[in-house]
Amino acid sequence: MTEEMIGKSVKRIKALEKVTGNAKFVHDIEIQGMLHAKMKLSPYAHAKIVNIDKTKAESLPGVWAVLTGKELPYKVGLYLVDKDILAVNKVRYQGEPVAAVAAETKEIAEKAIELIEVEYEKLDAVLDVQKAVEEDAPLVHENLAELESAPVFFPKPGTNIAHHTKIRKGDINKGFAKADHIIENEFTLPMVDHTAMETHTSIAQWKPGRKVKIWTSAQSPFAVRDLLANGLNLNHEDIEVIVPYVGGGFGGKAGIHFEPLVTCLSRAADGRPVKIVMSREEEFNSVPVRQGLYSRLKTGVNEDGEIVAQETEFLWDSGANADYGVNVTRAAATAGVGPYEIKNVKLDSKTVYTNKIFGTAYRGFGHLEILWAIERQMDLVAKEIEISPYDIRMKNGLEVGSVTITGEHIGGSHGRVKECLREVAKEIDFENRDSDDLPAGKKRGKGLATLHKAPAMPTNTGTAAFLKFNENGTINLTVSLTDYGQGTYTALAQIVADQLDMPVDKVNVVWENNTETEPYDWQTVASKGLFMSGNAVIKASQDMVQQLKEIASEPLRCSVEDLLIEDEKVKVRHHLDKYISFKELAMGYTYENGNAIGGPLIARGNYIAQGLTNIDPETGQGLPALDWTYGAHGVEVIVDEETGEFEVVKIASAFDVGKAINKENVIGQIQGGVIQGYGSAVMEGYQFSEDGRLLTNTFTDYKVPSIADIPELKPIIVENAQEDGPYGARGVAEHPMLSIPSVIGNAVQDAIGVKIKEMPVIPEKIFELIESKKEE
Amino acid sequence: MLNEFEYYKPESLEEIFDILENKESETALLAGGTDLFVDMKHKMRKPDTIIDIKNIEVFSKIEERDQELFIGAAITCNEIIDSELVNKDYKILADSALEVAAHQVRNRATVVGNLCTTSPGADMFPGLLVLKTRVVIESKEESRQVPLEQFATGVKRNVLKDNEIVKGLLVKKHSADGKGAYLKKRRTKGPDLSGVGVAGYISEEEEYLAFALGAVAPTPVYLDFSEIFFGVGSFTDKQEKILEKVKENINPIDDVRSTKQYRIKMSQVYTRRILSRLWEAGDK
Amino acid sequence: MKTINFTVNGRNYELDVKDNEILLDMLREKLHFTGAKEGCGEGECGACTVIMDGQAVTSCIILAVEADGSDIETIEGQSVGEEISDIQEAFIEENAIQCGFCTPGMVMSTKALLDRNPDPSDEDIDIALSGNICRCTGYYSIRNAVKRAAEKKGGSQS
Repeated sequence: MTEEMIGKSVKRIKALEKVTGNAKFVHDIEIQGMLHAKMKLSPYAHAKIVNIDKTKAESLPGVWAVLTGKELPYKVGLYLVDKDILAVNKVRYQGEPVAAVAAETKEIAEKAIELIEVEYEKLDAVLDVQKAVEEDAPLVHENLAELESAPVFFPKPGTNIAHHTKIRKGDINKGFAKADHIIENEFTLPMVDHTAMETHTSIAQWKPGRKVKIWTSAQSPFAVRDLLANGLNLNHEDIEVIVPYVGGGFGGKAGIHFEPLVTCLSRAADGRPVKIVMSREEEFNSVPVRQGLYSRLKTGVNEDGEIVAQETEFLWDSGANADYGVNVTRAAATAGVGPYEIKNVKLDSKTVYTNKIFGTAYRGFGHLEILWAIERQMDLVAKEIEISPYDIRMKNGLEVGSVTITGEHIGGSHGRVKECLREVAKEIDFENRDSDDLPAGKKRGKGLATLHKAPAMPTNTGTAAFLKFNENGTINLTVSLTDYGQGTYTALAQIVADQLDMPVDKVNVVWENNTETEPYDWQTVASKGLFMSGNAVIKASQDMVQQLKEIASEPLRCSVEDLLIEDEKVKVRHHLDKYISFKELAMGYTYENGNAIGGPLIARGNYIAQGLTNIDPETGQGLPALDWTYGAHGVEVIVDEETGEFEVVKIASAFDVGKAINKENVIGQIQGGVIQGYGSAVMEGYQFSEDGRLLTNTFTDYKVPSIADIPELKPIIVENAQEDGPYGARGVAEHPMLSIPSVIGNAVQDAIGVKIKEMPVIPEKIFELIESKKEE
Repeated sequence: MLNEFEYYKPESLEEIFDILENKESETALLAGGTDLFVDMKHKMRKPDTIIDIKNIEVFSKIEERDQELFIGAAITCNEIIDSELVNKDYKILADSALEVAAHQVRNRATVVGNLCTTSPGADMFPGLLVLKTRVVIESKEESRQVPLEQFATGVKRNVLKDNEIVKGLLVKKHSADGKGAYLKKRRTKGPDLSGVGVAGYISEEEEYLAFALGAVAPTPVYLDFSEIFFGVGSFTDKQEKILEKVKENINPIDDVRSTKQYRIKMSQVYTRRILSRLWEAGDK
Repeated sequence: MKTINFTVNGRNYELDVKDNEILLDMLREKLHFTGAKEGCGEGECGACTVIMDGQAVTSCIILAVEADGSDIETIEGQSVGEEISDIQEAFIEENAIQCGFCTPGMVMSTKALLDRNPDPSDEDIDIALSGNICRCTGYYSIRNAVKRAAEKKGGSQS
């Protein structure tokens, strides 16, 4: 092979199937005899379930099963096992499923749902995190003491606090005592929806012997299997989870969702397969979201811009369940001052229950949220002490030799946040930002923001890969990491092609994921896919190379050490014209006389996170981060001084990806992530009525960016290799959306001086700030 | 999922009236269906009879009659956007129609349907109001014309009786110097319902200036400023008066799209901007 | 029940449909054209876009009976055997596809646009496609794909 495989923009795998409409998503799958499920949802944010009468629904012709929480004495969850499949005894949010039906048609299921009568007794609801942590607040989970959780989480029974992460570094009091200035601010942001285009969809078919087969629109087939086994007390080997094409995830399809419900419905319906499809309204109302966040930051800074102390409080609005939320709280805390070195830090991050739809993973896993506070605070501090937003970041930014808040030493293999910052500042010409060329009433502003994130996952997270040759010398790669648009499979194919020196189109990455046949992967989350599976695939490839050489060494009559791999062949190093092709070895080598050796070739590789530790519960010290990806954005805006309307003119975004295996797909991640962050920044956010009813439960009321919204974007790829990454690569799936709200807030502040602290950044709020500034 | 109903697609107006007469329960008229079916999916409407009006020839007409433009009840927003007739003398209608939903929806959604849904923020109201439009309403017994400013009676309520149907609109043709503009406050540059919608129209020849505002009161607000503007006084004073009147005549609410305070502000800002744009465009 | 006649991708159909049946459901569930997707069910996301008598429409808010007498084009009609259309090729070449759920709708909106306007400006593209939500790509590559498709068809060179 003459062409460089790594770094090449190989065309995306399965693009043809997708562009022809041939790709089958769970939405498109029908199983013979399939029933349709529908859920009855709570109209109240917090209420006791006094009685459920399902007799009318059960007697409707075509109805096979009607279930309520009473019949499902299970709790399900990943980190804190607090989720009911259907509400038991009380409802904790508006939109919570209280009953479910399986029927022969969608129409019958819908009719049956209308026939279920639920009697509620309303309870006081708590909707605000600051009120939820008060002593006399209504409790969302009274039985917190009885819930199971992973050993690194610490629920506080008798309160609404599901977990509290503490980070302590240096001496906070001494730090503040030394500081020339102390600046304190509060920041908020609302819950946000993933709005993957394919809503959550699952099919389950219960089988004799307590077995079940599941087709689901999920990110992580093995997590679904594991959590289902644990939740319903089934054997792992009795559960088959199939994940075909998935229409977007963004964290929203991590963990487990409606798989337990359809499993129980299928069991109750004599093993008929049961399908559930969330309507878009249900997707907004009843499927978990990105958590809201209240932040309070107190920063001690010296005249020269050195930040010497930071005290931080994060109150996460986890909604009615904290299954996933506790880990968002923990992971974000470990990154809790941004990519800066601050010597004295006290940080408290609490997961707080409220009576709202609950939180889960969302692209960036808490980091967009904390970076809203951190990076806005940075500009507020810079303004206060009259230093450039660029200089204060360069002054405090992490570099080789820095120590993070969890005690990690930054070394040469880490990325370079300052290089990213320099690149974007240059790209937007940060120093020149006057408004001389603009019409009266318009002001130009430019903003900067940095970002960082490491995968958030258990310390022993692992993955594996299989390779097997086909008869014609092509190869199949099997992983259960899922590719729902990131492009990871294409990069993995490139890695195999490079390792085995074969054309990439001869590497077939098995698309459909199946827990029965595929090797384990913990979850497809956290931007760990390419890093971990890439390493596993390299190992599998090396295993295959070794096997190829071992077999070929016999007919080639030389030792394994004398062989090399080139151009789909095993060649003798000193006589390159002496070789055996992969095709001749794939199913075992056959001599002229008919003797055969070897056998069909299979290879395996695995990878487990290296050297990670749990963090100390009192100080947060430890090594929770596999690899840090750093980045920065620069933004130019033009703001209307009278109305607060603004136009984002340009965004420049730089990420230290270590090594871009596939440049085009890295840019695809940057473009998609930046625009998703742009949605969070300027238009998205859940709004609730005073009694906790969701007001933004359609695409009419909840807006996401359209093609008409996108500003000019310059993606910049920085490559400082990660020693233990595949070819030096780091993940960059989540990072592009981080700090987009902050950088826009910073640019607006730069333009007209308003101190925005609430997300989203919308003209209404800017206008209010302009007006209150006038009053001052 | 839609509730069950009986679907009719009559060939004549008479047939429509017959169906309307003989049905006691809820009947819905279907043109584009882009509001109707969404409402039905949300169980906000449950008609048991649906009458598709797209087979009636006159409803698909868009034509000039004397000094008026007739827009049939089945004319879609995209037909308005693409109509040469409209773009020549009624440009503000094309601009307004472009603000209605997304392209695919506009291929179905009709101008008359937009009015008949009678949402406070319906984008077609302000432009049609400032041009002066009459709604042609027919029933078996009578035909009547209602000035558009009297058509809406409340949020999603209008003067139409159960046995009546809107046949079309008659939009006044103004003198050649007339010009209008429509500005809309939206949360995205993509499709969005109006947060505030302001249309203004001026003709010096006719000494006519009017504004109409959507999404700032239960029904669209029409304000004729001809007397103020073409009376005595300085431009600044007149503008001041106009903005004051705008504020007096609107009564917006807080909702997911905007706040009351901001709606008041933007009503005035857009009015002022349209006024100066229209006035300056006339080289004044 | 009503009996309706129509074509899908040039093939004739005669079908009995319920009065309240939605066109998208008929296409997906009865005729198994599952390329068009339901992303919202109320005309806000464009995933269900098909072309009906030459116009892009959201098939989730149209009755099946309204399709009587019409010609419908779906994503399944855009490729013939191994041959894909210029638009589909352009989407692949510009990497305008990630998860792929919105892609059929995007392609159909693009086709309707280029059929009536072979050389669209950025603004024309925005108007034609702003009813198609994509949560993955950020739209940059999609906009480029539409332009590339126009070039392939000869629009920009004319």
